[in-house]
Amino acid sequence: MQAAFRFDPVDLPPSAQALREEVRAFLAEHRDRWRPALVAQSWTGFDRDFSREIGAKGWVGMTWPKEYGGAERSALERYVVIEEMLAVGAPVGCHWIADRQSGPLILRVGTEAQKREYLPRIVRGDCCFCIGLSEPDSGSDLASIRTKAERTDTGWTLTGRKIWTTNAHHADYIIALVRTSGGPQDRQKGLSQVIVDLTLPGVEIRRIHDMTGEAHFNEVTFDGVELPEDALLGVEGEGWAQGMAELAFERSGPDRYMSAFPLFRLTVDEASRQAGNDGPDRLAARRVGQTIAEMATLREMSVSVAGMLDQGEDPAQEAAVIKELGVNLEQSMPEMTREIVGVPAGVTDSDLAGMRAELQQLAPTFSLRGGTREIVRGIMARGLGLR
Amino acid sequence: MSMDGMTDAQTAGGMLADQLDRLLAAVDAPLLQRVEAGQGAGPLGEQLAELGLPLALAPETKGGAGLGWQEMAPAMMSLGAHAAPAGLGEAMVANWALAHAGMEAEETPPAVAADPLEMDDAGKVTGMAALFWAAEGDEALAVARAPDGPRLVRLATQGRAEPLPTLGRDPRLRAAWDRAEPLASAPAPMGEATLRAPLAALRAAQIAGGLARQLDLSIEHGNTRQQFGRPIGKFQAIQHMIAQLAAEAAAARASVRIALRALDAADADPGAVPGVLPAVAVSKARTSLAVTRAVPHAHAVHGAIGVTQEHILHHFSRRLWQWREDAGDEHEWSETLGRAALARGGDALWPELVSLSGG
Repeated sequence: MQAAFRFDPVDLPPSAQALREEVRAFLAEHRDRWRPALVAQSWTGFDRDFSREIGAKGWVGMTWPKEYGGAERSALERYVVIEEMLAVGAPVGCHWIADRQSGPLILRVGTEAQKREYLPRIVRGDCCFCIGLSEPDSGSDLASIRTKAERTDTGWTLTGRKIWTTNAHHADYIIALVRTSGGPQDRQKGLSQVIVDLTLPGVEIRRIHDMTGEAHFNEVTFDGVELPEDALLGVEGEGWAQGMAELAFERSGPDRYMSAFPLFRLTVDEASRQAGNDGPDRLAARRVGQTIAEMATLREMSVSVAGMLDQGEDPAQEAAVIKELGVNLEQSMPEMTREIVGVPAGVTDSDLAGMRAELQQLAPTFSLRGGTREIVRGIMARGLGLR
Repeated sequence: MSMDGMTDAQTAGGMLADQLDRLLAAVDAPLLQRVEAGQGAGPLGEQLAELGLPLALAPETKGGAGLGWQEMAPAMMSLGAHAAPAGLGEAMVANWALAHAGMEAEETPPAVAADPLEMDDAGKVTGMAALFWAAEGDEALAVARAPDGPRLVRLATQGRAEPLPTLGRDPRLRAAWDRAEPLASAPAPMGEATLRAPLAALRAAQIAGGLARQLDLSIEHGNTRQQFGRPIGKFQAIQHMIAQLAAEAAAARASVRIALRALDAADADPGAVPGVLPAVAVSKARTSLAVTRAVPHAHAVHGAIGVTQEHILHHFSRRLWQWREDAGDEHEWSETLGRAALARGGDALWPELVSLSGG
């Protein structure tokens, strides 16, 4: 019988409950400061001071070795911290990508010098990384990227362009997938990952406004940027495999189904308020209940994947399943608000209506970022033996 | 213990599941046709009886094997994955209920009633209920709402029982009682949900197994059926349908654990009983929802051959459609969850989600 997807049962450690209470108490002190539009942005919301405070609590890079500033706590303890952050829509954008994937990548393939240079700063919540993958002509077909790093006496010269880089305008570094040998016909072969200091001459960052009016996305142009030798991350020519492993981290976490949770909360509050003495109407109750059933199941699967990652396994297929189901759920939340409580036509000037409008506009990106829905389904099909 | 379809041969539950899988491998479309035509399962029926599955969930002190719900998950899923032609799961539920009500478990326990009955001041029982895997003359096990609280009752079914046709076409009776004297009666250990909750959990596991089977069949069909000069599984549209089916099957399987974990916790600690219904609600709602979403994909992949009598697919489709409605469908259980959540308000939403999915 089909066992392509393994979601082994995983128990959170006994320390999880106390840690959860601690995180909730910390967040309770900050929550009133965040306006609904910021909460709606969830983990892309940026606040460097806040990230420093989280770093000071030891909650950034908390699974990393102590010699690099980490706390050597378990992946499941980290899971508790990040899901509590997502549940309140905390603006964790400054450290999020570094904590989620850039730091783990450096830990996995970086040199000793790179680990000592970057990891302690990330742990302090004071070092922001962004991801350089897509290019104007390379979205889903990532192997067609053209940004190239050519060898020089002192290192590399970087020329090219990355796009859709979230928070590049705030970030200190970008980890970019670039071609270091061969040509476009070589596809995945000859690609490498490089860490680029975004303050270097030749780096130009152009903000891209999205339909909400915010500008999280950026286009990052590299115009003959001189990189030192040690900008290379991992093995030259192994960039594709390194990057794909990194994507598994990105796809598997609770951020894949929690992005719209603050809206769900507000909607439940409003629906409760609208319910008469006999309780809520049947539609409202069913819609809310079905969402709970779907979310509880996603959480069950997601904790399992965190456990698998902790054991050093590679749950790429399981991560794809969570992304497939999770983004469908996230995208359904603005529609649920409309169905069960209604909002004044398109109006945005109340907490609930404003958050609903924000998420309505962000929703299309949920099934695009980190791999489009169609790419993810293709990955699953391959895992099922169809390709 | 692994619940991912790979049984742990070390546990008794794992070994039972392996034996069950081996026996049930004999179930094919012709056998299922014969069973539906009333011709019985042949020697397979006796071989299945010899496994002793009905005693699995009852404690050893009551004559059972004392195995846990999570441990029996692979076996319950196997029943679904093979469309087992016997009420082994229902028998497990019956003995679990009997034992927890202080009665002895039996090799052939009474047929489980799907619906609650009413008991009057004189202890007489009235009402109508569907009985699973029942034949004329079988005894019934039901929950009866009584003045001093719900009771678990054994009843004789002579005289007022007729075959009940259903979508799933398993052998059900609709039985009626009019002030009948129970053969035995005891306080229902889990209140009115004493049979409904474990039945819903069983159905959730069967659904997970059945969807896994439909996924396997769809992959097989995608890899073998050729059109336009290639296996149809090479087409992106087919791949994406199968991926969606697989995602729902995976979610179904993962959600089963939520109910079974809660039942095990309640068996170990009466203080954990209130946690059972919300957990069962999640599992049954999620698995029933998975049926609604996934079965159309399986049929889309199979094309016309998939709706024929002689192909095996419909034996699973009809059971899945039946099981999603038995013991409460996704709408009913979602409503239960939703009403409770709306009564508690937004602040309690996240803590409740956490506690439902493992803490």
